[in-house]
Amino acid sequence: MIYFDNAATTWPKPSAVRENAVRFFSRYGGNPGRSGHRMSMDTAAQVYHCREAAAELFGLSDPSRVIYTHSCTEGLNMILKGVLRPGDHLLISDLEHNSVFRPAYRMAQEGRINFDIVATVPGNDDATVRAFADAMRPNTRMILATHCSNVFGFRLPVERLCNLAHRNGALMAVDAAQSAGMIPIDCRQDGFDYVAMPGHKGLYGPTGTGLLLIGENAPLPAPLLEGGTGSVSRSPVQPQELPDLLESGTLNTFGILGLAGGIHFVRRVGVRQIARQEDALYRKLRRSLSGIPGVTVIGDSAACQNAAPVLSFQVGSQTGEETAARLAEMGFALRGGLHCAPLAHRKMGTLDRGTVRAGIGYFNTGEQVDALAGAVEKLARRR
Amino acid sequence: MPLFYLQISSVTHAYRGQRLLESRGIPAAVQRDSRFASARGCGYQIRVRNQDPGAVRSLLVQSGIRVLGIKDGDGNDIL
Repeated sequence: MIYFDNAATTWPKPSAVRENAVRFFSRYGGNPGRSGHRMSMDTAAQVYHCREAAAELFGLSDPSRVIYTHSCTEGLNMILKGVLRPGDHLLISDLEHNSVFRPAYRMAQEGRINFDIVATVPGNDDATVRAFADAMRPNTRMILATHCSNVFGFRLPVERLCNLAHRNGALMAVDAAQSAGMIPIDCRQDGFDYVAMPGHKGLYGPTGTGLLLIGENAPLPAPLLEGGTGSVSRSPVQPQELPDLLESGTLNTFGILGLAGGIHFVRRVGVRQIARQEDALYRKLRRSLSGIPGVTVIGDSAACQNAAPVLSFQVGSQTGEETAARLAEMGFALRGGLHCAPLAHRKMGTLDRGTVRAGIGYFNTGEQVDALAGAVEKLARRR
Repeated sequence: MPLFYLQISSVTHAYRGQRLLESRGIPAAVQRDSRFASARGCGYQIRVRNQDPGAVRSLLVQSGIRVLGIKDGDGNDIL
């Protein structure tokens, strides 16, 4: 199988991920932050080292502002439900994943917040920023925008949106599901208040891992979960210090050990080098598919100029699911359908048929891209 | 002070404090606060030898690490 489903989860994982994770069974199986025996303390030290490495990778000086989550979705829910207060207004983009849209929708349905979906202009950052500026209200408390569309790869000017938010007294939250580890992110320099990300995509960790980064001047979210933290246990009140405020319950040590291996890999190779390599393959694939009669690559070249290495296309009149299934029979792993992002599909006119999505990872090669383009060409001829 | 213990609320901040002190050339170790934590319930401490407790505490506090107390080896409050 040739794997191009890296936007869902990266595969294969670097050897350091496997080697680190299996140490859970030999050395680091204690419950971190709960006991004082050697294995618990050694495990806690490993958990801390991973936190520290993530802080360094993303420009946070205080590792306690790196919160372990089980997914990017959990982090986004923590931001929305933990920070927004009754009466607040929220702005999201029209490229958001359901992990943003659904909680925002529910909160609005329940009368807790109001939110607006801002029409972005991929490839025209000035127009996108203007659209957000026009949608700001006096009670806008937060802009939450995806860094890059999980369907089309379009990149939003989140740094400029952050400036806009802060100029208007609002907070800036970023969904970095398709950018963390693939595009440089510096919380201190960019000023983001909250950044949610998965651990298993561009950071190459195991599934079931994620990080929520909390900027150094950001209000602390109220916790979604309360309970055991291994600290100040006599108090009936949840500890107010990070990370314990937001990390109740035993951590996913196995996943965190693996994630540490992934972060080590990303830091060793370098985010910019990963981006260069993936972008070269992305452009090669885009060129190849664009030249096949009957294949429609979604998004014009301006929109895809600084895109994440995620490319959506359609073959003839097939649905995305049909194309993905046929490619799977030919030995290629891609994802078809709506990719949990109906807003983005509606925007691009692909809601009815969906698309098939190729997500490029660090371990893909030019030969694999050629093979995929060849397979798509065969499918297009057959239709 | 030959040996003293800085009481820290969570294991994350205890390791953060240890890393900070070691980056300043001050050897430090993290351990469970098994003797003195009963008043709060659960906690960790940083063990330091042959340093000025006040100066060490200042280093930690300046970096945003909350020090709940400092004890000597017999459990007496130092500062």
